[in-house]
Amino acid sequence: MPATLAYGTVIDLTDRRIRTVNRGANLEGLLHRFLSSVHSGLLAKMTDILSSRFTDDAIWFRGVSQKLWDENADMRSVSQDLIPKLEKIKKSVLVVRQTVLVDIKKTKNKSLKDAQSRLIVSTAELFESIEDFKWTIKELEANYGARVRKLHADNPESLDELFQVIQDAS
Amino acid sequence: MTVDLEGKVVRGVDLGNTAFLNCWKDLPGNIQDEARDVIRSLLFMSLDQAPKKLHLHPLTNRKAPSVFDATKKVAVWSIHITADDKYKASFTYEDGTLFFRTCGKHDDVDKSP
Repeated sequence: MPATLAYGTVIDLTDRRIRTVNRGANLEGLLHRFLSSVHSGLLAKMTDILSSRFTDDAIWFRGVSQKLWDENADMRSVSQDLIPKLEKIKKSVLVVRQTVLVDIKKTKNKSLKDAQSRLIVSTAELFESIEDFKWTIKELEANYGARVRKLHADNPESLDELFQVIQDAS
Repeated sequence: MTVDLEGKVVRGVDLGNTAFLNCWKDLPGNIQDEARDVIRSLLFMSLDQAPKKLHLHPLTNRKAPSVFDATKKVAVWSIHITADDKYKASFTYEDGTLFFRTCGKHDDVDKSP
């Protein structure tokens, strides 16, 4: 029987993983600033290390999404806190991606260019896996959402009225 | 042999999931307007014949508890609720009704270097 993820553990692990992604995103800027003019080979190696870390992070987010879904975890109390954090690291990953997309056009060294290509792919994978995780949390929230019974419409007019009721209530 | 002549025709829309209501109120006004038109357009439409621009599809590996019987699992569908594909919503289809579950911003990124 598969182990059940304790609720607090998931949150702790997610926070830790978010810090890892942030460190990686910051690292890319430092690497570029200090190594780009000094040693292309070393920069290529460090870029590959960063790609591997991002791929590892992407696999983690995909895995935990599936695990939480399989367990039908109740994420209602953490989603308010977690989703903004996930949005923030998505932006950090995009910044890395944009930087490398610009850098690669100026790169002449082949091994560095290849490493940058891999980093671009890994940022996309990580971005998508974080997005998938975010939507998993939202869907899990919906699994536990309470039902307001009267918000049902079976024709366009009553649907318009329904939206008006929602509008007035918010 | 029985033939389902109606297919998955939408005969009702239910917005009563509190998770959906919470997400809906966070949508910008112009997005709500566009989403409302899309949801309205689904009434009496067959899910099998929805316009491609809506990107309507059941999610893979995602089945949710039925509204009528929580021990049963039903498919979760996803739909794009704005023309620029930046916002989406999800629902289950049960007994002719779309039970909306959640909605929000959907970010995408081009994978190619």
